Amino acid sequence: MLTRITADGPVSGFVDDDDNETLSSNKGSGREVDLMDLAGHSYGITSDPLTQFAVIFSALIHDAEHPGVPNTQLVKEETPEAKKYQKSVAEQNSIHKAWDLLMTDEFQSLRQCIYTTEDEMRRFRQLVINVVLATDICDKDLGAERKARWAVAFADESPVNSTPAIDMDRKATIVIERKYRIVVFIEEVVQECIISPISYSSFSIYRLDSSFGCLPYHATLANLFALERKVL
Amino acid sequence: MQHWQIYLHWNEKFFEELYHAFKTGRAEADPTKGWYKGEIGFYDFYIIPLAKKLDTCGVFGVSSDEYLNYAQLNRDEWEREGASIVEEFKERYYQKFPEHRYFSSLPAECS
Repeated sequence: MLTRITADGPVSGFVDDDDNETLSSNKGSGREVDLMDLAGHSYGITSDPLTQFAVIFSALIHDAEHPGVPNTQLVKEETPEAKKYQKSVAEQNSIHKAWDLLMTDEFQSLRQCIYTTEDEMRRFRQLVINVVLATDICDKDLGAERKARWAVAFADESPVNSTPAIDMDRKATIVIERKYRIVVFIEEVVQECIISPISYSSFSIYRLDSSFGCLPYHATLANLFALERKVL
Repeated sequence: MQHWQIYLHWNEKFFEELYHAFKTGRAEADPTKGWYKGEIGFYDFYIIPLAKKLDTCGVFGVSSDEYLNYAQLNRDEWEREGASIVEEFKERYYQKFPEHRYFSSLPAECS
């Protein structure tokens, strides 16, 4: 799939639709993770396959069609993408391009493997948007928001009117977002696992509880939600 | 937070990307000037604190230690070897784009 959305054309070693097993697991890598044990440490985001795949998928597509210059340069050059997205330009463009491609007939079987209901699709999409946007480490507003969410989620005392369930979701949310660098790391390792025969640890990612709700996305994501309405 | 060789592999790609942007007039700053120190700062103020946060939240379980150890080991190795590695990055870039060896940044419309 990624060979279709890289700016420089086909890249050898990338996975295609038929290779999604490679994405969903890293079998035989030497160290299997005990999900039951992890469940006790992941704030309710234990072992949902949809979330696991959303993180891997996000890792793979988060730089799709990256132009090779920072967002600030794209804004300075007033590229069509910069005019369209204004903030997190490359990240939003990557999401759009990858999502459009995922929605094509060619990847119908992959979609059916990822989600089977509208709710699952919406949750998958929300996760992908959040995780990919979290890879924008230069946007000060997004960074400040993440920092604030971390501070609240891991404060010594829960906020007023909070409940254990809300506390759990709050931690789950920011843990996923705080892994923005991990997302890049996963992408790199996935590519390395495919390109070179180096053995790596298996990934341990998480599940969001069904109570996990829509995150307060950046205002400039309105166009992404517009796309979502079109898809639905 | 990853194996040293993986870090180097992608660090070089990032270097090449930014250096090429500079050489083709799409970036004002020459990344070769601060790459070595910049990476140390990235480890000290970004990667290692992030690895510690992962340890704090515990979401990776026992692997949290592994990420933090890799980050610290890579940081130390970069401190020892990074300066010469940047020179190697530059040389490989020039081998790939020999036309840029003797010219500094040109305005985009000239490239």
